[in-house]
This record gives sequence, C-alpha cells and structure tokens, in this order.
Amino acid sequence: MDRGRHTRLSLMPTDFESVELLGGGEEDISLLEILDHVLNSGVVIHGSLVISLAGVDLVYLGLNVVLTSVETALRNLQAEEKRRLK
Amino acid sequence: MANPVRRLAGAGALYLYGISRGPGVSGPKPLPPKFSPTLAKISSAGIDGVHTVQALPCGEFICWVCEVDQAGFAQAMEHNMENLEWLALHGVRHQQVVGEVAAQTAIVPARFGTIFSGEPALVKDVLGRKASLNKVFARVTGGDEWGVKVFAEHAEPVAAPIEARSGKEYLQQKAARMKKRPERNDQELRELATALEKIATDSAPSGKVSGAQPSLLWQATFLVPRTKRKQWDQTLRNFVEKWEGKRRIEVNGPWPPYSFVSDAD
Repeated sequence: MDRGRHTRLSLMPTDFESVELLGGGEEDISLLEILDHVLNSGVVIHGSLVISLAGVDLVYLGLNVVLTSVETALRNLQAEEKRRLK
Repeated sequence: MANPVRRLAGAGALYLYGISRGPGVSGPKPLPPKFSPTLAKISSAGIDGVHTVQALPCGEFICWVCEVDQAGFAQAMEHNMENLEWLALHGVRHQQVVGEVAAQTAIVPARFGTIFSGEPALVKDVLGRKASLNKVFARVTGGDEWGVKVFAEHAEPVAAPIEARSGKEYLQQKAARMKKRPERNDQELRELATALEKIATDSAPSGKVSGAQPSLLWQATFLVPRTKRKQWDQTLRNFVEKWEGKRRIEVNGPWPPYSFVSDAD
C-alpha cells in the first residue's frame, strides 16, 4: 500500500501512522475527518437532518461531489497565505 | 478588579473559535512560559477568508475570534450550513485556526458556527461560564483527540440490486441493509474498544459525516493524554498486526478536543 503518500484531501488515509495534523506544515488529513471532528461538538446541520431521515448518511455522498471544489478552494487559500507571509 | 478589554477596531459580529486560558493562570498545567496571546500570531485565514484572527483578552481567558460581517456572514450562516460546499470550506478554515492555537496552548473549541453580536455579548457569556470552563480545561489540558476507525479488509459480496418504487423506499431498504452488517459489534471490536478506553481519559461516538464510508465496521473518538501517546500507538499497532489481512485500522489525530467540551455549554 502507498503509505504516507496520499494527498492532502485523500478520502481514505491508508495507515494510521501517516495521519498527523497538529503543528502546522503539511496537513495530511481528509476533509471527511475534519468535518467529523469539527462538527462532532453537537452542531445541528439542518440539511443533513433532513436527508438522513431514512437512516442513510447521504452527506457522505454529497461530500464526494464537493471534494474537488473544496480542494481548489484550499489551494487558493494556501496560495493566498503564502502571499501574505511574504 | 476587571481586566481591561481591548476594543476591536470594527463593529462587526464576532466569530468565536474557542477559548484558552490567559497567561499566569494557575491550574493543573500552566501555559508554557513562552506563550503570550498578544504575541501569538495565527497565520491561517479568518473564517470569512477576509478578516484576521485575534486573541481577545476576557477576564482570565483568551477568546480566539474573527470579526465577521453581520449581514453578509452572520445572518447568512444558518442558510449556509445546509450548503455542503460552504460547510466544507468553512469547516476546514475553522480547523486550521483551532489547530494552530491548539499547537501553542490548550483550547476549548467553540461549537462550529458560534457568532456573537459583539464584544460585550461575548465577554458576558464567557465570564458567565467561568466555573464550567475551568472544569473542562482541567480535563482536556494535556490531551489530544484521536479518531479510530476499523474497516473490513475484504470487499463484501456484491449485494443484489435494490428494487424500489420510490426514492424513499430505496433509502429505507438501503438503511435496513446497512444495519444488518454482521461484524459491527463482535467480540474483537469490543476488545479494541476496551483496550483504548483504558488508555484514554474519555471516549465519544463519532462519524456524523463519514458514517457511511464503505466497509466501515466501527469508529469512535478518544481523548488521550499526551503522556500516554506511546502506549496508545503500541496498542493500536498490536491490533493492526493481529488483524492483518482481515481488518484495517485507521487513526486520525491529534485533534483539538472538539468532542469533549460540550459540558461547557
């Protein structure tokens, strides 16, 4: 398996030792994980409440669709930060 | 004597990322001597991508905030929460800032999307929950949040296609199938959970968003003291070896203690 070399937004990290995110630098963590933890503190997402009524977590499917656009947004963010730090 | 509160320049609403303890506060673990909120520079972009993140002194606490436009950002947020694309981008921005603070000092993260009308409202609220905040600090300081997931290594046999007359019926059948997954709560998974709970200070269910990942058998979130990091890693490695070829373990972290602060509400 391609250990530790997945991209920043890979959907499924392959090895527990490869996923580290504190301390700045390369953040190697999937968007799903970020949302899992950030939203775990009890926030009510209205949209997901409606579509999970049937017991299927469609947010996951939905996120697949938006992954690409978020990746682009993140890249812009990083570029922007680099410019600011110069 | 009340601490003087620095006034923020604009008059916009305040997005709250989380709360730290100010310097010189005695507690189970004082801040590292080098940490100074006034010098701490958060380089990540603010939640709206425009404003910068600021450390606002608030009694004995430091509130990590970002000014946001009342009409453009704050009022649109409830609606935006339903927009996955918005949620993803802002969730990432939120984590970048909270993670950056957590790398420097203990932080009690605010619930994602917490906005105050202005500084007086924020200060009043934070000072009003002083006692419960201090309790939470005592528990989470020196610990990190970790997510653990177990996946089935072999693809499950291809299921017969679902026959349904409506979208709702399709979803109901799909849900029933997912509930029937046999391995979800077996003895070995319970062994892992027990071993991890022994090391961790606390545990919580997780997976609001990623709960439907294919082949996912089990997942949970743990608060792990940094001093027990070696023991934590070793325990996981033992299970990785034991389950080789059968199940795959994925661990993500260290996270700020998002899942272990709700009693500060």
